[in-house]
Amino acid sequence: MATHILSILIFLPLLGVLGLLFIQGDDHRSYRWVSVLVTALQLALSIYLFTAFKPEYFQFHSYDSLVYMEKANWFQLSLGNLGILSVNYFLGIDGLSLSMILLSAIVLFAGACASWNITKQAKGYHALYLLLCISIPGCFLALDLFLFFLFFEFMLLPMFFLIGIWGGVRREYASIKFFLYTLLGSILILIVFIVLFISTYNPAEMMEYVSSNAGVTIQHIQEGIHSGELINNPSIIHSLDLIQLSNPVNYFPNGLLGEHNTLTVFGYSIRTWCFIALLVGFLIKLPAFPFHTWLPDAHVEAPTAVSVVLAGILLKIGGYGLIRIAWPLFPQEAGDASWWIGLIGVTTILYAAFVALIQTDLKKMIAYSSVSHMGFVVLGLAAAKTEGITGAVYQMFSHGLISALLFLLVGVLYDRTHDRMIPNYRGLISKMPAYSVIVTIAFFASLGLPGMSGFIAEILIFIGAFKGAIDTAAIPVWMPLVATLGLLLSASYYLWTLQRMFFGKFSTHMSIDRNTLKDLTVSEKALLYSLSGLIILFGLFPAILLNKIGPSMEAWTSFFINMK
Amino acid sequence: MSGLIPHIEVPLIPADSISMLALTIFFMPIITFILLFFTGKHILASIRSWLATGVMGVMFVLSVYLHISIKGEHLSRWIWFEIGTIKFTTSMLLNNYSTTMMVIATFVSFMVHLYSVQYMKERRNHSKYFPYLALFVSSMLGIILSDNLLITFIFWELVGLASFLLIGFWYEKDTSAAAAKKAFLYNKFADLAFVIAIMILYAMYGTTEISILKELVNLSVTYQAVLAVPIFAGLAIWFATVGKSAQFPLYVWLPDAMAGPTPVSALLHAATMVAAGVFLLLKTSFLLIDWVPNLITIFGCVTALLAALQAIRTFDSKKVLAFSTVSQLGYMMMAVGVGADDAAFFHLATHAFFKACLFLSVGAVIHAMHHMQSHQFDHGQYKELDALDMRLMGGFRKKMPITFAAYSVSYAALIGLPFFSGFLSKDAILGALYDRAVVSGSWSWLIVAVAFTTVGLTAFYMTRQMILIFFGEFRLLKTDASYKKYFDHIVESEWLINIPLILLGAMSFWFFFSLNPLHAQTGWWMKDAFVSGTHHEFHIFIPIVASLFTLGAIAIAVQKYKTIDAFVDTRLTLTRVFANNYFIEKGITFLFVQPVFMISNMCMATDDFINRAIHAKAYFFIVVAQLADVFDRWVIDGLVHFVAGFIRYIGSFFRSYLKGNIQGYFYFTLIAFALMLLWLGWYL
Repeated sequence: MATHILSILIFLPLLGVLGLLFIQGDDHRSYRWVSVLVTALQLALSIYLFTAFKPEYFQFHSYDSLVYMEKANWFQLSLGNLGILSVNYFLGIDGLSLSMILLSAIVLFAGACASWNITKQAKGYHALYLLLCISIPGCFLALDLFLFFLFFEFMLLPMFFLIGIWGGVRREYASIKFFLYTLLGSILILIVFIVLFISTYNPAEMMEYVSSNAGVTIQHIQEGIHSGELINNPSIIHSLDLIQLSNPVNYFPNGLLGEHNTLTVFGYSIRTWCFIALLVGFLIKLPAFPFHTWLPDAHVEAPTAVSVVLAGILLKIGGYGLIRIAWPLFPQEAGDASWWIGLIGVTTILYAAFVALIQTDLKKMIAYSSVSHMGFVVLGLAAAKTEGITGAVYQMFSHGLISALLFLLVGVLYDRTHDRMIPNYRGLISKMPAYSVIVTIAFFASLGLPGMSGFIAEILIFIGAFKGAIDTAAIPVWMPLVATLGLLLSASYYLWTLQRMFFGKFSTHMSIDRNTLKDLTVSEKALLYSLSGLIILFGLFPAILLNKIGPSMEAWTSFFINMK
Repeated sequence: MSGLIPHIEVPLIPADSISMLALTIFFMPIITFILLFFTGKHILASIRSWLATGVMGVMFVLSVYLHISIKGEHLSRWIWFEIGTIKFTTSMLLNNYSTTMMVIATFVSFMVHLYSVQYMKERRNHSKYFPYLALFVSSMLGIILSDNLLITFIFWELVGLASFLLIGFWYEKDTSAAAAKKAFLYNKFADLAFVIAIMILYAMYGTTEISILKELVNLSVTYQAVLAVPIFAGLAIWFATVGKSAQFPLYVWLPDAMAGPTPVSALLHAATMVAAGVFLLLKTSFLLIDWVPNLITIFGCVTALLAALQAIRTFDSKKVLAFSTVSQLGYMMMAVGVGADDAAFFHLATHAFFKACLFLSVGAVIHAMHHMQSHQFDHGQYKELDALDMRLMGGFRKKMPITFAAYSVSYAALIGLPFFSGFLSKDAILGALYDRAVVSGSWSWLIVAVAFTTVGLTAFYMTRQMILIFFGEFRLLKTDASYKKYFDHIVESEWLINIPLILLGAMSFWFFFSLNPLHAQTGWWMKDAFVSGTHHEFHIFIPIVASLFTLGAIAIAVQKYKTIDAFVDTRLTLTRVFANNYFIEKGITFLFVQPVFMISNMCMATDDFINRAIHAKAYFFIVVAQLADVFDRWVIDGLVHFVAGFIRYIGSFFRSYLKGNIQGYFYFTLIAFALMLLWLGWYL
């Protein structure tokens, strides 16, 4: 089992979907149990993976750095003189994916619990939700870009329907906007993958084919390619194996992405364009300014559980893609563009915080605050220091927990009154004390109060960014300094909301039925308290996660610096 | 650039038994917090309050024991978390300085807890009060003990959180909610500088350990390597303390913070939290080099003067004390600025006791006022009454003698009368300022002049408050005689309130700090409590001049308020300027808040613009699709239809000959046959 644990983790929900097919009738109660059980199992597996993971230093993107590696040839396609297209079923886990897997298991479980009260076409809902539970971990574990793209794209389908069918009033608009936006990103990413495919070769797999000639090594093949002997050979194997792609030797020297390529488009090399395409593709997903406008709409219209998943993990795939694919494959370009990337990060932090300040819809405010917090990830990446990059990963992890909690909380209120407008409430604390306590915890967590996970992430990003600015001048010094204003702005909009909605004498807008304003039920409390507990746990004891992923992040930085 | 600065290995040091004791003290309020927060309303209010108070008492005793038994420095350091080879440590430093502060903090907290048992009884939301206090105390201890700036920052912010929760304790009052938000945001704004300081120090020195930083900074200062680093880091740390220690121009949050319960005002906003800024600055004074100390002195001086002036015109009894706190913090900052760290810390200590006592005794009076109000309410009459307004008070001297005595003693300490603690500490600060002026001359003399003037102002506003609250007749009766029967029934507060008043009041006398009532230099405090202090020359004329200022101001105040009808206030413009905090808030609104909302609206408009662009793109696609549809239907389909129609036409043309006419078929067959024959013949 241990050798296929990752496959089991990914495809477990498929069993759940199968199970759903055998349940008869419209009784939503049995469906929801399937989702909860399956995600609970996934969570258990992830926790096992997490505890079993040993933090050791290996070179980034080396086969040694991967545990529970699964690699099998999926299919090969002969393309005549172009060589052979080889696609692998290639999974593996390192420190970077470990944190994301743990996060996605937690959030997906929380989302499944939050889907408890879905009654409309429950069977379809849970089936789609379980499909999401396949593609998200798949995305984080796939190390063959073909496989990655498959999972990446496959996420769109359930999301589209989950928003479009179970969403709010403007659900069609939101789901189509979400779909088109992310599809645009996917196309850009796909183009890069195609370019990568034609301009690289996989010497390891070629070895297997020429193994009859004793004495041939990978180095022989690489030398053969570089001396031009092996070029245009129909037995050249192209693959999208991320480990092989991370080695610059495996690029054809005269290929589109090769070192000798002089082809430029609008004055920039193909490599630069590929990096930009990847950057934009993943920034849409993250999202960062100016590619973020799909997010508020998608959030506002999505049902609670989908919002939780969307903010909790889907956004992180954008950041994960940047850290896993864009930076390691195009280190030179990423280093050159660091000024612009830093600018995008700072702009996103401040811009989204400014917009959040004047929102009157609570959910929209939180959506914009999500955008703002994702800006920190970009800033941490731009400086490319170990502290900053670790902070970026920690920010993704912590924001996953915090935004899940925040959206669950909005869902609690919306479930009761079907009204999310901030001005329509006052003094909620006297009517819903337990709810208000958790809202306060969540708000303070999100504004980066020390003792909560968000603080660790943000302070690491700040010191990493500043260190990058001083040591390598990757970004100018003013960027981290100006970005600190984001802390003040987020404190402002959260405290202002707290003051307006929860403090003062209790009153509500006349359209709201006050009798519906009941405090939290026991099951809601259990879910919300445990998420808050996790946020505080990871805030006080960051070692739990950071000691595990630290060596991988350090390896990432040294890999990036060496390649640059 | 950072290559110029040597890196020092950060060794890990396990905690010894003394450090373990300090850690135990630190964790006690945390456990109290968790216990009380989660049990909430399920346990009796009295159990709750006595549990919290008892724990505080034990903490105080242990702190005293710690302070007595400590010798030299005890540093312990552990790993908090690590990123590969990068280690983030946390450390605790015990020395005379930190244990003294611990004793002060736990003592004042203990007193405030005792006082609160009675004061907060039957107050709404009681179940949250003691856990919040515990949260505050643990954070304060964290600031005191931590030797790592990053860890200090954590507790620094948690103190801000506790302050937010306690100021907004009566959250139903809009003023409380607004004041809580204001306090947090003003502090947060200043705290950005703390983040920046951490960023600078970490990036340049690779650590935030204060004792390591001290070595590194001293090294780089010695070699004149990169002076800009400590300068900017010191500047940033100072700005962080401008928020917490309520310095000009950010001090405006502190008067508003009086919206919280009075014991909270005594503990947080007079004795400990606001002192945390000065305390931190003293701890990191090695960063204050070049022109930064002068800046600190100037801002401290401006703060001391402006706040004292405001206190003169304020009628809110608690706000007078709040402004006084700000003013005294200004003194401490001035002392920090001229390098008189020992004097600053001395004043911090004496101020903590007498200011807490002042707040608690005024709180006792306010308590009595509230009682009258609620009595009236019980009799079916509800009247809006500002129980904090000194214009409605008066004559409490005879009604509450113990309170009056406690107030008078701490009053004497604050204005700096001989034989009282404030005399010693203020004298130390004034002496240090004078010494500096002698050395550097020019504007330093102005600082000295302002410092002496503020001594007079302090005496003036305090005498004014004393007269308005405790002397004369009870002025509320002038507006509403129905309060008479309640006023007649006012008696001294319960013993639980009086004991803290007496104990804190006792700390206002000189002998706790120095056996010589006129000079502290020989006292144990200046010798022991703060080792790094330099010896100051004792000038006999400084206490004499200061006392003259004080006595003169008292005389003026007595003369002015002896017979005054406090409702009449003639100089309205001045009052308006003071009541508006010199328009600092208006300025902040104008300079920051309004632009922020303008930018917000602009960003929102940008978002709309992006959305429009996307909609336009979508519409463009729809139009293209429609065009394609038209092309499809008319051109491509048209062509297909044309071809089809043409073929159909040909077909029907031929079909027209095939209408079931046998003769016709025969005719065609014949022609075909003939043609075939013809062709065959031709071929053959």
